[in-house]
Amino acid sequence: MSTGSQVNVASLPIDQLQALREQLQEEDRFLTNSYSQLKIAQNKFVDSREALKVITPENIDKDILVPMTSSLYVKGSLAKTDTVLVDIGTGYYVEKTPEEADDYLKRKISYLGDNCEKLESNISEKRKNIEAVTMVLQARIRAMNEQAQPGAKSS
Amino acid sequence: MMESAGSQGMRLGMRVMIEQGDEGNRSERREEMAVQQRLEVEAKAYQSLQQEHAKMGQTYSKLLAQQNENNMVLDELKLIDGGAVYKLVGPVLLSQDPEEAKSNVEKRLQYIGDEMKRTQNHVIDLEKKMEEKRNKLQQLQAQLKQGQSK
Repeated sequence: MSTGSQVNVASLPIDQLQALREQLQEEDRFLTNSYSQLKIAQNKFVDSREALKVITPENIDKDILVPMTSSLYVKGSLAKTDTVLVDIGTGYYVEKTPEEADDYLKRKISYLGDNCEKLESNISEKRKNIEAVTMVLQARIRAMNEQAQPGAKSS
Repeated sequence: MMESAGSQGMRLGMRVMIEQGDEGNRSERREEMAVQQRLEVEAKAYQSLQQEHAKMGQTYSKLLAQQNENNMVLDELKLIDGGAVYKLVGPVLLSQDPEEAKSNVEKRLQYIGDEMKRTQNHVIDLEKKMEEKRNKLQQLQAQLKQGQSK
């Protein structure tokens, strides 16, 4: 796509160039937004892995504070460490051992990491395109201004 | 880009009206007005098509996201061996047979796939209609320009 647009960019009229640049910028915004959302999702899985580390047989029956909301905690004790419930999406939960759950989280983290990388290269590609279009646009406007000045004198 | 085609046409039409008013050629002016009116109608129709096209695009990406999520769930369900499966229904978790859960997700994927195909066909249909309208708009604009140069 990049080479294709590169070829015809020079032949586009100014208003279309502007529209193209706006479209590219819009796409860039969208991708950047997706990227930060992916990062947030990935961090959630990283946090879950961290939390999973304390679900060990050594910690059984130990006192814990269970968060009811972000600011309200209730006293409890760790009753069971051999399985955890994992939310796998669309309302399904699966009972897994902590090891399996860790595998699941690792898988998710690397999956999101791969996607982040792909998005990153997409974003830098988009930015390059925007830069190219901007340069052509500026050159075009400059040329138009130079053309318009002698034209105004003659008429 | 194409939105500007409609407003451009209207701007053009207005200029035509002003010039015609000076000349005072009534029948020609009436004709111009008719063309301009048609142009406005077509531009509006084109805009509503554009809106629907954007809406369908949104629907499609929503479906795509759902498909992705369900595919991931299905992959996870295939990976479990022996672990119990629960489905969140309202605030409670209901125990569910893993096989049943799998077939439910597969069914949903099937439905989402069908819905995506339907949406895509609709999008293609809309694009065809937009292309037609675009041609019509250009035609009308050319007509106006011709009348102006007369």
